[in-house]
Amino acid sequence: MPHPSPRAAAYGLAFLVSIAMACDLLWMPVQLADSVGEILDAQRSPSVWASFTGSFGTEAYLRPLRIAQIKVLFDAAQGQHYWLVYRGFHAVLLVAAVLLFTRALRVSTIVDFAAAAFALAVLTGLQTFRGTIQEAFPINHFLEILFFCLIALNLAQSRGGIWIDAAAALIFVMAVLTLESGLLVWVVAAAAWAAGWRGISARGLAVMTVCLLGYLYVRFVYLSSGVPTLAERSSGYLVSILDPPELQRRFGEQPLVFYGYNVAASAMSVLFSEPQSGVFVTVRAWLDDRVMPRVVLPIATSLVTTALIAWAGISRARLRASASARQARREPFDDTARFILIFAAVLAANAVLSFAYTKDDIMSTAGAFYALAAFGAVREGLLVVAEVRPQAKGIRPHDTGRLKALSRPVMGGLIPFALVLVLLAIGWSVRSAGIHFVLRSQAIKHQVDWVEMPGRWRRNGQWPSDPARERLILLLRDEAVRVALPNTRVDRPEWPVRLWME
Amino acid sequence: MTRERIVTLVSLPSILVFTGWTAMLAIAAVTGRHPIWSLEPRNLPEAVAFRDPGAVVRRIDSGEDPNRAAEVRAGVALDETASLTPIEAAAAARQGEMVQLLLDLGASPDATVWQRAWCISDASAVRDVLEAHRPPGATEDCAVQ
Repeated sequence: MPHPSPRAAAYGLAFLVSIAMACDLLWMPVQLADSVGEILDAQRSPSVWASFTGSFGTEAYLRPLRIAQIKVLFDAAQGQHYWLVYRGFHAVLLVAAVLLFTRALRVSTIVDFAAAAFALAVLTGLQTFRGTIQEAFPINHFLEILFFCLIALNLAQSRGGIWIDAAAALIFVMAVLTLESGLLVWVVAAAAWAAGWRGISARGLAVMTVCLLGYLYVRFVYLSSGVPTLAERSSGYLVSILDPPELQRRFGEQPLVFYGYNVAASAMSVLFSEPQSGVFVTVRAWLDDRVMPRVVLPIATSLVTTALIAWAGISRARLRASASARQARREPFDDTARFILIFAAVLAANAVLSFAYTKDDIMSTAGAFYALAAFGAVREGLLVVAEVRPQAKGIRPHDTGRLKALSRPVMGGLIPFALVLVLLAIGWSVRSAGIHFVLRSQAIKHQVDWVEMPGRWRRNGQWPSDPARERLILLLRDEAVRVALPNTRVDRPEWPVRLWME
Repeated sequence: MTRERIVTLVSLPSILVFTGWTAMLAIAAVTGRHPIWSLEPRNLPEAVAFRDPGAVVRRIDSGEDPNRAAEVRAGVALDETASLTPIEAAAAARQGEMVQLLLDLGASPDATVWQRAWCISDASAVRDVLEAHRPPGATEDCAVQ
């Protein structure tokens, strides 16, 4: 029986994990909190266009395509299949994003495959990835932004052409009209161009830049939409969550301090898995004397992986520095250097976009690009450790020899380094498996919300008097309640709660 | 360590986890029971004690009586096996929301059940709900039990 190629094996593994996550998503009711209001608004809206235009001019956001998409899917449900349409869309988007991620790795050797398996565990295991699956309002727009960014990366890796440029401009416009994080599509395209992936040409990048300026003009000048204020929502700070009045009291006079914290905390959350949504959970767990594997594992795996990425980046920088200026200009960056450079750009931009409040969901795009950088770093590590003849794209034999020479003093021995890689792979895989626990817990939470909702709304006087709205709510509730779900609420067995954070 | 062994060891954890994850979902789909979270309530009071309101609604929708007592296994709500009504099971599990849900779904405890529920739990969340739905003749005197 012929062996599958490393590329096919990587796609197979990506398909396996994305199908598992998609099944978990489909085994989950449509979310109630922050979602049913959007669905009811879509029901009230006469058309997709009305939904699109009606969302212009809101105070702090410009997200017309987000509202229009909810309406498109609402209409596609044809009055009865809301779970199928909303959850199905989420699942399909997730599978597409994971496959695009895998495509961007450009796997061609067995070492690439091993690094790809590692990268898929990092992608799905990093806590920022949960933002793309845990919630949906009723569409998960963070996943959409990640999807758009991965398309941009794949376009940048392509051979280019006018259609590639046009597609890049189109996805940028779609992304930016969906969420502010859509600006990251431009960052990905620009960083990829600077790093040497020029499938999106200078002309394409120029068009995207014009679109970017147009967006900024429309948002800040024409519509005069502001930016989120301190009074808008709670946010994590050091070891606790501060509510808007407390944020106002502490930082009302000097918001830049708070914004600076948010930017730094957001970047750190990707690099070190700490803080999470602005809160230093490890410190809090230590203070509460509740240090469990679920707290230690993320920070340990992230620290070592970030160190590995830094090692690969520094090795690359030293290689270029040691080459003559003429040679450096002539020779392009290899894939590893490109992944690391693009990750650095996306991380910085994503963290800045999180200035108003910290939330792991917002950093989900940077998290995915962290996994791409981890792919490059682990591949370098494997090439050094396993003394493999370099066959990966963009790696030249003489580079690997020099890389080994540069890295030996840092690592202090290849066998321990190999063991670190293996332990790291185990650690990230355990983190990745936590997604299943997270989704099962989330599913039953959504179901509980739906079960309790009619009684609560009636007692609070929120129950709609309009028969059409009432019918829709009852239909959504019926869809949510009729599915039997595993019960994670009773903490039996206990080990999942100790191993993974919900 | 050979090249093949290192490469295999690095890729194996992901392969095992992703395969195991998919297999777990397949088992759950085929058998109807999740390999990890396999606790199944045997009756309505157990569903209440397991804090599984979805199962509670499905059982009542399928015709189970929200006032009928049934045997609840030891360790589920109380240390010993006991015959409890759903309201009593909710009180034993200290679940005020569950008591409220049962009342919303048509449970109507008589004075005896109300008093037993009151005395099983001293949780304020439970007692607040019970207090608001006290049937005639029900007292808070647990010594009378």
